[in-house]
Amino acid sequence: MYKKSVRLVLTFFVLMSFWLVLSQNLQPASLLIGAFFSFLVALLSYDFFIKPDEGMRGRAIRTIWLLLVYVFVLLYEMFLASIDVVYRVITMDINPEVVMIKTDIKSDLGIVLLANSITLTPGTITIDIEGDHLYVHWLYARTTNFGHAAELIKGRLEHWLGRIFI
Amino acid sequence: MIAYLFIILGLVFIFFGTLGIIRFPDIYTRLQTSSKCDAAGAIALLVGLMVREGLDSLSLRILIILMFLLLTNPVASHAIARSAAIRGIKPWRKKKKC
Amino acid sequence: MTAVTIIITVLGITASLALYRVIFGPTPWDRLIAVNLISSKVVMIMVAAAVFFERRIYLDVALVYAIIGFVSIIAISKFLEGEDTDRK
Repeated sequence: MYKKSVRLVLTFFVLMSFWLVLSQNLQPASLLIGAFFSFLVALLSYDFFIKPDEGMRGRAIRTIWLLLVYVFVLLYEMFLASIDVVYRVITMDINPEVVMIKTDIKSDLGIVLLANSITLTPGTITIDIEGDHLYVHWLYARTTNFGHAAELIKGRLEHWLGRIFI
Repeated sequence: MIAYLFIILGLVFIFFGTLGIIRFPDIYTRLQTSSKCDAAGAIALLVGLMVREGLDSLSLRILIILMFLLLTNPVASHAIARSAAIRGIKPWRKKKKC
Repeated sequence: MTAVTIIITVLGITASLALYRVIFGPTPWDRLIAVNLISSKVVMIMVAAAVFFERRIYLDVALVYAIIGFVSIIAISKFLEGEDTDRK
């Protein structure tokens, strides 16, 4: 979907900003060395860093903006989840089950982000993935119904991720 | 003051997350506390340290460590859970009252 | 008692609580979970020391330690998965 030169330049800028943050040095020699090695590494690895058929929706600026919003949604959900888990640790009131849910997101990066978010939010961790079915371990299972469980687990997260990835 | 509030919140989360892996009965429930409470506690603690330090090069590097922890913690939990599931560890279930 | 003493003491106490699971854990995966927790505690102790003692070099050590911990967790869990999964 993206052209080769765009992916190369994007990888180069990410690597160069890492070099600037980690070296903290603005002398010309340091900048030159950083640019040279960033270009070399970008040339070798841009194909792994950004896949050619990455299913993003819309332009890059909008994607980055939505990702920032998504990070804050995720942090909010995560603190609620942690308070819930602390309550469960104190009272030992648990009822674990393994349920299977289905996702509508198709792109690989989107599924990885959804699985990571499920691991970080209320009482659930992703155990295994087969195609677009996720096996989820639930700390306090309220229901074992297929559709209802999916709605409870991934509801708000998938709504936000679906606006970013196809 | 806000910095110390964040730090205390993070320490409380980390302490209960570690208490959870001692009290809970099997691997998957232990992974629940270790992944969630540990990530939330790390984020609160590091944000508190960043607020105390102010905006300079040190806090930028702390931000990099924070993003790295936030990305890799679920992946490590997922790898452990998947390897345990493949080797056939059954999840613990509550005994039915009947 | 300064703030940094309290922070490092609490983190050290929780790390030694997790050490219980490393020693007495019934299965290898329990030990792996506890090792993961201890390594993230060590990273946090290093960051706290770097901020309170004004030693910037500790932050680089913490970053490298986090990377090594992550890679070793992935490698050990792949090893525990057994030999019959990656064979086509």
